[in-house]
Order: sequence, then structure tokens, then C-alpha cells
Amino acid sequence: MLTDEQIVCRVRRGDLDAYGELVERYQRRLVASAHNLVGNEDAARDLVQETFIEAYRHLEQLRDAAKVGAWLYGILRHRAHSWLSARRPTVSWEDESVEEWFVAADPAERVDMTVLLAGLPTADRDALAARYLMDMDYDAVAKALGTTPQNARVRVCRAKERLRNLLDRAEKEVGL
Amino acid sequence: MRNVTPCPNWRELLSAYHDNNLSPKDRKRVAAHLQSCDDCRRALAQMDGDRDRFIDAYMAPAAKADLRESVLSALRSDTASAEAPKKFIFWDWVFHNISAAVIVTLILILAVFMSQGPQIDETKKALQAEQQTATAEEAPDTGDRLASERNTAQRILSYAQDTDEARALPDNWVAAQGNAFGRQQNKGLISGYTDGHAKYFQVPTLGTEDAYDATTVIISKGQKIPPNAATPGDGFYRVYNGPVSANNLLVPLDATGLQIAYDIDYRLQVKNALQKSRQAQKIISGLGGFTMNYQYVQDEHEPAVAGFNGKIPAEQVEAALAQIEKLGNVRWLTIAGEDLTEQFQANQQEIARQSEHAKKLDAISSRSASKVALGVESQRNDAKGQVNAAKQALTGLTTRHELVTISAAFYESQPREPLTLARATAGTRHVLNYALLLLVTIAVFFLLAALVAAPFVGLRYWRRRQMAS
Repeated sequence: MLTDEQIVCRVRRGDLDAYGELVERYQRRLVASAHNLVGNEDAARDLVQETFIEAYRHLEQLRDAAKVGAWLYGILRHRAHSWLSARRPTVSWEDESVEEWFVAADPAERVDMTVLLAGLPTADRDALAARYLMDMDYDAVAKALGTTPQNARVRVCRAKERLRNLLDRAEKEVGL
Repeated sequence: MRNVTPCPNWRELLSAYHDNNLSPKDRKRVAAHLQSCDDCRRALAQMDGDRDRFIDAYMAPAAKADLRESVLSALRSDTASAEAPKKFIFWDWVFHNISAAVIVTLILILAVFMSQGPQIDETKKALQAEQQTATAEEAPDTGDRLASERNTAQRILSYAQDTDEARALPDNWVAAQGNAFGRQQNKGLISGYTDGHAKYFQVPTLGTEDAYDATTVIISKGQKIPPNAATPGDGFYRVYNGPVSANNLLVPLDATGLQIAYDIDYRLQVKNALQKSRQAQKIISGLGGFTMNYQYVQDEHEPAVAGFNGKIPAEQVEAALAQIEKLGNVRWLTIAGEDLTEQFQANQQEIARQSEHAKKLDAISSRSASKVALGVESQRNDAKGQVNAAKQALTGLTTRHELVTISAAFYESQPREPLTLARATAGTRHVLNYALLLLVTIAVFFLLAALVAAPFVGLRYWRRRQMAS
């Protein structure tokens, strides 16, 4: 199996298929992250596609080919924030509305976790997507969030705590 | 599951432990703590569960994402559009044009160097040859050439003394007034010019006139000329090319002034001759004379003047001239008069005019009322001031009128400076040389531009090709 570096090297030599492999490798994580960031699955897919196209066009700007994942996430994150600022969110992330969506029937089927998790503050979703979905270490998270590794560690920790509180509340309220 | 809170001091460490982002030392610490702390252990387990939920929530829907083809087809069409005529042909055009510019410039440089190179060499050789010839000519300056110059000087002297004006003057004077000679620069011939009253002769037997640096020694003839007694023919001259003595100086040596001046021809800057002139100037000042420098802006000459104020004994002038002679490389020494009669007369007329005007104004002011008188007074003062200025100028002219010049020219005996680009370009080919310089500058510019741009353009071009294929 080729490493990220090898793939990037091939792409830089003009191998478009190698880029296809890179897309395969990162598309799910990126779509998941985008979904997490914008709270909309279709938009997430579009954003990731745009991210891959933009990344390809600016591949010469990638300094460390081994960190192509973090770099892609950086582009995606930027695009996601632009997308969010360009349009009002289609779902409201107000606390009270969360209750409306989770009718206490069969939680396993009815509760849409992504909608539930959309209740997290943007900064927390950002940190958790980078850490959990992209599986980036604190250095990479810090770079993606534009902060220091130490601060990234704190932000991830707080995001986890808020995630825990959200899930705890959901467990109590809708019997998740 | 009940929400478990980890120990406050261990929250961050526990989270980092969970993320496997701890140093080995901290990792051991957390592991040790976990063994003894139930809450933290359960909190860690909750973190695991939360993470799985989080990942599942997003990864599950993302699993069906298949963007490969859509991305690649978009990129293919993007590449194809990148190959669309406009952009692709632009870079193609830039790349090929820079290449062409470099080639054409190189050919131009080669052509210019091949055509100019030998010419520069020729210029160099010509200058070297001239230098050698000059050195060869200057070498036996104590032999035949000096004798020849002395003969020439003698001939000039004879000629001067043979004029009617000369014969009409007292024994110790040579006057010169005659036809205008015009300026002649025939090499080896006597040449001279006249300003209407005095004649000036030069013996340009060595090289061209450009190559020397003339020093003029001016000796006053020591006689005040009454303002109204100025008559044509007061100028006199003598060409001298040998030791100076009271006998062969054709002027009385109880002079009131002595000056040395030199002219530099800036085109060649004969430094050795210039130095000699400076030394001549120093000799005069060393004997108690004065020195001064001034500039003629118009023709860029820079004469220096040295002289004696007041009457000086003949011996002193002799000593000065003998020392100048000893400096060596004396091309010629001349003694010549300077006649400023016309200026003098013009000045006299101006004085008369202004004096009359002043008198009239005086008369008016004595008759007029005070207000009018003020204006007239002012005018009268102006007129008086002008009269005074004219009188002062007259005094200056009178003094200068009594000056007789002795000119000395030194020739360059030191080797000339080696050929430089500046000298090479000073010749008739300077336009071509500047053109060459311009071309080289343009070429360097193009080369630099091409060197900087080529890698980028080439890389881009190559990548477009790769993608296209």
C-alpha cells in the first residue's frame, strides 16, 4: 500500500489515478468531518468534492506530503466555514429544539445522532472532527485550528466534556 | 450511564491519555492513577464510548461516499479547460518568446562583439602607437628637436623684429601690429594670431596643440600708459625658447607684475604638463609673488595665475624664468603684450557719459522742490555710483594694459595613462560603444529575466503537457 507521500509524489508527476486513490483514502473521513462541521450531509459531500478539486489545483502548496490529511482538513474547514457564513444553518442548534427532534419512541431508530451532535458549539465540533474523524494528533489539530498544540489539547478535552454532557442529557431526556 | 466526572486535576491528562498523545512519562503517571481511581477509569471508558458514538454518527453516512469518479472527472475537465487555447497558448507563447529573446540576444551580443571587438583593439593599438611615437619624439628633446625649436623661435623673433612697427619702437621694444593671421595649427610651422594690436605666436612642433598644457607668464612692462595716450601698436611679443636673461627679454624688467597662467585641455588631461604648470606657479609664489585660480565656465578652461605685485628687479624675473626652464619639458616660452585699448576707450566713454548725466542731475536737484529732488537725488547717486565703478574699472584696465605676457608651454614627457574604456569611448566610436553598452545591458536584463522565469514557465508547461497526456 502506498503511503500518502508516495501518492502525492505520483500526483505531482501528473498521475491523476493516484489522486483518485487519495480521494478514496480520505473521502469518508472528510465527508464525516464536513457533515459534522456544517450539519448537512449533501452539503458535506459537495464541500469535500470541492476540497479535493481545490487541493489538486494547489498541490504545490503542500509542504509536508505526509500530512496531506491535515492539509485536506484545513481546506475543508475553511470551505465549511465559508459555507456556513454564506447561508444560515438549516437546522437550529438551540437547546430547546433538540428536545423536539428526539421523540421518546424508539431511540435507536428515531434519534439522529448527527442532529443531536449538531448541538455542540462549532469550536467543539471542529476539535472533535479533527481529533476523532480525521484522527489527527494534537500537533495537526493545532495546525488545522490555527492554535498551539497545548491549546489544542485543552480544546479537545473541553469538547469531549461537552460531548459527554450532551450525550448525558440526551440519555436522560430521550432515553438514548 | 451515569455521567462520571474525572478528578479535576487529571481531566486534561486523562483526555490526552485517551487520545494517545502523552509523553511516556505522563502516560505512566496517568496509568498509575487509573489503577487507584475508579472515577477516572470510568470516565475513560465513557470517553471511549462517546468517541465511538461520535465516529459512528458521522462515519456511517459517510461510508457510502464515493467521490472518486466525480472528483476525477471534474479534474479531467478542469485539465482539459486548462488546455483550452487561451491559457495554454499564453504560456506557450511566453515560454517560446523568452527562448527566442535569449537566442536573439545572444546572437546580437556575439555579432556586436565580433564587429566591435577588433575596432576597440584597433583604437587601442592606434593610441599605443601614438604614445610610442610621442615618446620617441620626446626622447631626444635635448638634441636636434630642441635645436630645431630654437631655430624656429629665432625665426619668429627675426620676423617680429623685422616689422615696421618693431623698427618704429625704441630699441628695447618690439611692437606688433599687422594683418590678422588667423589661427593656424599647422604642425611644424610657425603659427600665430593677432587680436588687432598684438601678435601671438606659437611653435607647435611637437604633437598637436591639444597635447600640451600652456603656461603663460605675464610681466608688466612697468610703464603707466596715460589714459588718453593709448595708441595702436603698443602690443609687442617675443617668442623665447632658451634661457631668459635681461638681454634677451625685450621688455624692461623693472616690472610691476608677473603672472603665470595655464590652460588645460580637458579632452586629454595631460597630467604631467599640468603638474609642471602648477610648479611654475609655485616658483612665482616662492619668490614672493601671488597666485590665484579662476575658471572660465564657458570653455571649461581653468587657468591658474601667479604674479608679482609692484616693481620687481629683473634678476628676480630671471630667476623665476630660469627655474621654470629647469622644470624641463618646456615646449616654448613667449613674452607677449596684452593690449586692452578698445576696452579702455569704451570705458572712458562710459565715464564721460555717466559724469555728464550726473552733472545734469546735480543741476536739476539744485533747482527742484524737495519731493522731486529726492527722486533726482537717488538717480544722481546711481549715476555717481556708476561713474565710480567705471573709474575703478578704468584703473584695472590701465594696470592690465601694462602687462606683458610670457607664455610657457610644457609638453608631456611621462607615458600617457593606459587606455581605459572611458578614453576608448572618447573617440569617434563612442556612439557605437555606448550602443554596445546598451545592448549588453539589455542582454543581461533578458538573460536574468529568462533565468528567473524559465524554471517556473518550464515546470508549468511540462505539467500541462503531462496532464494533457
